[in-house]
Amino acid sequence: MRARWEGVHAALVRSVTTLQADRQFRDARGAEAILGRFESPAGLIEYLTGKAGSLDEKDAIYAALVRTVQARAAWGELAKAILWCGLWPALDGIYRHRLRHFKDDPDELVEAISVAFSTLVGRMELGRVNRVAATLVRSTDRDVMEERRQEWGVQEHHAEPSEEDAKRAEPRTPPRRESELGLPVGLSVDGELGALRGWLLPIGGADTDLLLAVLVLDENQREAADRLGLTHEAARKRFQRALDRVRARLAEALSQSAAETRVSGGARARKPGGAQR
Amino acid sequence: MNEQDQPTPETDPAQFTRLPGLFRRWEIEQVLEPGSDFHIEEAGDASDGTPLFAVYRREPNQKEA
Repeated sequence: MRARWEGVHAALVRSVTTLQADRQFRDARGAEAILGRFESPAGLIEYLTGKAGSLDEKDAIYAALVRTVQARAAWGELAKAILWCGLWPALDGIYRHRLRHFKDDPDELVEAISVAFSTLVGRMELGRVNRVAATLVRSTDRDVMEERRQEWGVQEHHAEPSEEDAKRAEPRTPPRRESELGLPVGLSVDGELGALRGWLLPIGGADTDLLLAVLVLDENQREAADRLGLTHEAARKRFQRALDRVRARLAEALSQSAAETRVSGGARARKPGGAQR
Repeated sequence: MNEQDQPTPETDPAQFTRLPGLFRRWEIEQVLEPGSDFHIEEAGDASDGTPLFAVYRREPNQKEA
């Protein structure tokens, strides 16, 4: 599953350890004073990914690399590869964390991270950013999930659930063995999200997307609030109230299901007696 | 393949990948292996003044782009 992702890393590492890369780096490092003390791209990456060294200096190095990419310098591609390799541990963390949202096609996640990261490096306004590395990583994660949510939205729009599907997703549907909520089995991740949304909508109402954002898509309440145009305080209160409604409905559905089981079990138990009459 | 068909080392520096670390003159023989092309560059001095070298290797008979 990780083959393509690891292939990207292997290609990046190779690209920064070639004779060409060393020569480019030696010729160009004078343009950015902060890079002058590094003998090769590999040495620079070792410093960036190591625990030793000043975080402020490392961030200034990332800024220098971003500037180089944006200036379309001759060694811009090398600078971009160094950025990738320096931030690889964090980018790999994004990959591992978000993989469950791309179970159907992990290569899509590789593509999404690549596009988001490259776009951010190309467009970042360095004058408005305090922490370059953290901004690149957090924004990459945000953009990957934003695109994923948009895809989910499009798919949901294109595949309006039929009346029968909606009925199946009703909260009062008796729980199936595979899903306590009675969601159809065998769905893709996207399908599950759509079905879950259908299940939540009668309970969550206008707060359904807020619930999904926090409970399923791993956004924190502040991020969800920003995205949905709410204040953090309003989102916090609405999320808590909506969650209480979901819990109450779940408890109701589960107790109803238990009662039905007892009734049907009792009916079966009486049947032999009826046959004797 | 005659001798003229052999790619000349160093014409495409992107084909050569660097071996990790720097090497003293007498350490170089430990990384040389038959069938590969090598490029060796001076890379400063060790603290005791011994010259150090960076060693790059290309897989055998790589076609130039």
